[in-house]
Amino acid sequence: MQIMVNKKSQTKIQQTAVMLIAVTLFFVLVGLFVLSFRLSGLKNEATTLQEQNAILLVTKLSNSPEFSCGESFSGKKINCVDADKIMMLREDITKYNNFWGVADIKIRKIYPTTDGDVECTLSNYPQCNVINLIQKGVVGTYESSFVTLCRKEIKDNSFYDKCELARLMVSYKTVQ
Amino acid sequence: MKRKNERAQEEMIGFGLIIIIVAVILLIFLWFSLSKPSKQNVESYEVESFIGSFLQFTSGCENSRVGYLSVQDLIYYCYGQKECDDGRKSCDVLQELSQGIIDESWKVGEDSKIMGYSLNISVDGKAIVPSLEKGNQTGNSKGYEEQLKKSQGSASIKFSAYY
Repeated sequence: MQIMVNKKSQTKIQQTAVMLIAVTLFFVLVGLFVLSFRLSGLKNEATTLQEQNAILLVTKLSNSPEFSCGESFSGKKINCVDADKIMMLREDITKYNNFWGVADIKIRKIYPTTDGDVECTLSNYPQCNVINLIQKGVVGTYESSFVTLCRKEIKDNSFYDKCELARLMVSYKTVQ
Repeated sequence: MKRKNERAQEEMIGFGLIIIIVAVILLIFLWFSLSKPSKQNVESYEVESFIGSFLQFTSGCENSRVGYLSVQDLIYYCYGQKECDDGRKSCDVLQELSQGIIDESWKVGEDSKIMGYSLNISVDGKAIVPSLEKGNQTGNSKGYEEQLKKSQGSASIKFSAYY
């Protein structure tokens, strides 16, 4: 009789223990879910802010003094990037590394087309199609806008303005 | 006694199953909440900046007096039925150039976010080159119209990208 009562009690204790473990596991999972949901919301918000900053920057950058054509190419142009100026800026870009607060800034020529990607350096310019201005080597997402990429060309010993179509690309770091 | 034990075991199994189901549902929710929707829209500023840059592009049509013409000038040259110094018709140059620029700038296809586009260039309400269209004109689009006013007439350049 005593043995049977003992066994019954043991089973009940085991049942309670299992219940307690299950309930704890359940609440831990719910807690994890709520926590990750809140964290993902914060991460999304941070990425959205970065994205908005990149969009604002990409729409205004071409008209900033460092990039804009000013009045060098027959009158005032909007969304116009002075390629010659950018090539010189590229040589001294370390001073500007944290100025715009983005991961990457590059200009990719779209038309006329070029075979493959040829990065612009002082030795191959203008026979190239990608000007990498800032490269922090961070994986990010690009926002881009169209710009006119202008430079001075020489023909028959006189200069003329040559404006091509390019994309100004700004990359921001996505919060993982 | 034996029946009672069996009932208790069944209840335990049922409870365990419920815990597993709830855990799986929570994990599915977690996965969905963490996966980000991919961005598939065309932004208005892209279309607007495209038109502005397209008009400033230096064409291959040269005039001995003014040099190489921008697309903006080429539109008025085409309207005036003028020719380039090399004998090409300005309207042919404009059409070829517009087609080339749009094809490179707005890649239409199933892998692309762009499903189609249309470009209309007119002066004083009259189309100077045939409308350039490609792909499907879906219900979602972003468009922009640039108006140019000169003594020769009022030009309108209208571009729409469908996504």
